[in-house]
Amino acid sequence: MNSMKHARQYWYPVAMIDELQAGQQRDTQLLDTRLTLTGDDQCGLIATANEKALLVTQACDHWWVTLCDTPLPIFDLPEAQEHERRFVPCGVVHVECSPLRAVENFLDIAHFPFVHTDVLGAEPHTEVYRYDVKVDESCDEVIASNIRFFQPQAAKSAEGGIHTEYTYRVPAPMVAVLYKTCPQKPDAWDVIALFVQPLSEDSCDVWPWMALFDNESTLSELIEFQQMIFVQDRSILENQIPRRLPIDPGIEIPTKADSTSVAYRRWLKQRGAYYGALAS
Amino acid sequence: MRAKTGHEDLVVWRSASGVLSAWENRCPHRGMRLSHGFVRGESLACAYHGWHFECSGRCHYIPAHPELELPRTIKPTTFDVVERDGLVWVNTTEKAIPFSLPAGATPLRSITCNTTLDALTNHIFGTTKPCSNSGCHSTTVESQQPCVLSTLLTDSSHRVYLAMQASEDHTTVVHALLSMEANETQRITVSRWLESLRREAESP
Ligand code: FES
Ligand SMILES: [Fe+2]
Repeated sequence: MNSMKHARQYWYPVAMIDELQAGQQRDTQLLDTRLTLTGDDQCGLIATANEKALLVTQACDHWWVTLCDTPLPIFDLPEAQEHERRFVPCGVVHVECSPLRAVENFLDIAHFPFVHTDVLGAEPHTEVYRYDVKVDESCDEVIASNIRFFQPQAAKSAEGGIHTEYTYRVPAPMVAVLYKTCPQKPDAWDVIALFVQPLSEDSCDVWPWMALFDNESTLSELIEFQQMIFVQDRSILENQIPRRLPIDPGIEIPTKADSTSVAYRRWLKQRGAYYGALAS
Repeated sequence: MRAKTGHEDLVVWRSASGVLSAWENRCPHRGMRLSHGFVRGESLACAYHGWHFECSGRCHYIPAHPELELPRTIKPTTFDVVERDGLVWVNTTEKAIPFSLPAGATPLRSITCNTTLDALTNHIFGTTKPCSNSGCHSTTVESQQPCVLSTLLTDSSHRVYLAMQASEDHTTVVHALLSMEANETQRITVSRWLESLRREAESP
């Protein structure tokens, strides 16, 4: 299967649920294809490409579309049903990089002290301790767990530094979910997800989304915090060479700290998910 | 800082003790442009995960694994680099040799023009009308490869040397030098002349 055909089987985010009022229109792009989004009278969304209506669904406060008539099922995120959480769609950040590079950056913790200095990490706490990575065969997802890292301000609601624990899930090539220690509720996990809309192989719109236990911060504070983090990542992502993700070993040198990225690249390769990748 | 020569994207940096290096502008770890990094004493630290590279290019410290013994092989592609006549010359092709400028040339400034090298040199040769009171006349080609022109200013005996470097994205970097020590006013005049040259060359 070629890379485009493979990528078309999945669902991708294109808008937040309340974004388009009835009659309102917006043009966007998905997998090199121009899309037109229109809000309808029933608070729904109509998405068309080349005058053909596309399948549309809702998940995690976003509209998702697919270019395929028989798509794979959308990923499962049980936390989206837990109503004691606060759901925070954070808007969109445009990034001139491969959608896969954006996901890989989200899975990477070793950059925290350098890119998110004094927020998600700080020198001298740079060491990445051994953690576990596997591909869960039952759901066919990459899972990285037991990640521990010192964070000066792990979340908007965190006061002072804490040792944060992370678990990552990659349920689709362009969706990544992070479970992290919740500063206000030690027995629960905050969820932060990254939904990537691939515009082309080397540009994307990123829709961060959160499901938190945080009753104190205002919505705009939470969004601002997440946007700030992502803008810091963008300055990196737009300066990686090559723009596409090198999926075969050799061009880039990983270390133990990059086990998640190594597993992610291998998993992409095994399923032929080459859209946004650089194959040698 | 970032520099470009034709097809090559480079990082050029000077260590605290003055050692100059020019490398491929790509971190061997995850491809980050090294020109976004920071000089830390005798090392260049990458902006993404803070890997440290010494002047030879060898990576000697990975913050995520502070204790790790590193193989000598982790390094970006490095290039020969020399300083001569106030310019930094990089050799990316194995066969290039720096062009020798006449003694006493002093660097003035570098500017980037949004035109191709050919268009820019054509423009310089075509400029017969004096631009302000400090136009140029009698432009001579000093060297083809790399492209160095010298041009005599109308109102003084100063020569301006223009060492030009084309880059793949159709821009040209011009490094300007003066043939002798010039005072502040003269430097400003020539600098203005360069800017007007760029303006004219860029306007269609
Ligand atoms: S990309 Fe340079 S240290 Fe990771
Ligand atoms: Fe980040």
